Amino acid sequence: MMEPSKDIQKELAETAPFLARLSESKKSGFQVPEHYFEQLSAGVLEQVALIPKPQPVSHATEKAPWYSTFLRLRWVGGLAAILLGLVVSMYVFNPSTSDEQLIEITALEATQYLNDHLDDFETALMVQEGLLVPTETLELDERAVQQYLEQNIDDIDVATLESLL
Amino acid sequence: MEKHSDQEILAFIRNPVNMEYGFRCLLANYQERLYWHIRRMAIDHEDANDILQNVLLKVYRSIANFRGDAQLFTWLYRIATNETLTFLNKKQKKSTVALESELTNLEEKLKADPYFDGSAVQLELQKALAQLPEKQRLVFNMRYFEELSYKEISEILETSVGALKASYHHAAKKIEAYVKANVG
Repeated sequence: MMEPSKDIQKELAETAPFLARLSESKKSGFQVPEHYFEQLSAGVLEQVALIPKPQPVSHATEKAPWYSTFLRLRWVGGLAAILLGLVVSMYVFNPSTSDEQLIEITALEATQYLNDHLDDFETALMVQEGLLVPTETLELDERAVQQYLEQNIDDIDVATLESLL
Repeated sequence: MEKHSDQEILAFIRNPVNMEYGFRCLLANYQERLYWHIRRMAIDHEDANDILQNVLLKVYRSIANFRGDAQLFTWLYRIATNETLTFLNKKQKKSTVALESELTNLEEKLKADPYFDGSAVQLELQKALAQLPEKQRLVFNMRYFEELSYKEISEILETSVGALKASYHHAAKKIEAYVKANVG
């Protein structure tokens, strides 16, 4: 494992001859407490005993069987098919699509809803859907209006009168 | 305890029945070498002890999955080196002391350290080492003190042999100059 120290010493003598002659410097001067290594082992083994035993994973140096790629692909393919099935079923089997919701609403309910939310709808849209008769198609008889106004002049306030004229 | 080869140790460890025995064998074979490898970088015994314990626990947690691509020795050294460098970097970030003060601190610390009884030359050598960039210091320690081959160092540090030779050469030159100037 280690290189012969002679070679290392020779190499050092060529690079740093002064350092190579200081044989005492080879020792670092560091010490350890008495019985340190025995105590270290015992301490580490105590800590290790508290750790759940790691399960070895086999690192097969042997070649994987020829069908392993196919099996892996089949597994991935299966997962993809399940995901696709889930997405499709959301569209096909989901009972709360908007068309089906509309079928369940009666005409009366729809009218009631529109009356309650009349201000929320654009006039043009309602005309387009046949829910409102366009104003330009209302042809009022001017004489009848005049007559109506004369009869009800006292009951109509100025603002309403202005809007009618 | 009977001395076992790396292959035997790994075979014990991979068998759940003998795992603990295998780990004991690993400790018997390597804990001391790993300690000195760490201690030369960390300097302080308590720091080295903390780092080594972390290293050994990490080794225990992952040894069952050791692939055997590298030698056991290389793998252990690599974990120890990474753990030590991480520790030293964290310590360095916390420290705001300038290099000059660090050297003075190191001298005082070593003189007061009950686990350092080095001579004046050894003290100067430690001061010279402290001035080296981390990687050079690591390479110098592994070559000079631990007498590892460049190939082994190369596998541990994952650096080319050429780059390691250059690092060692620069480190040796700098240390020589410092020690020459400071040792009477």
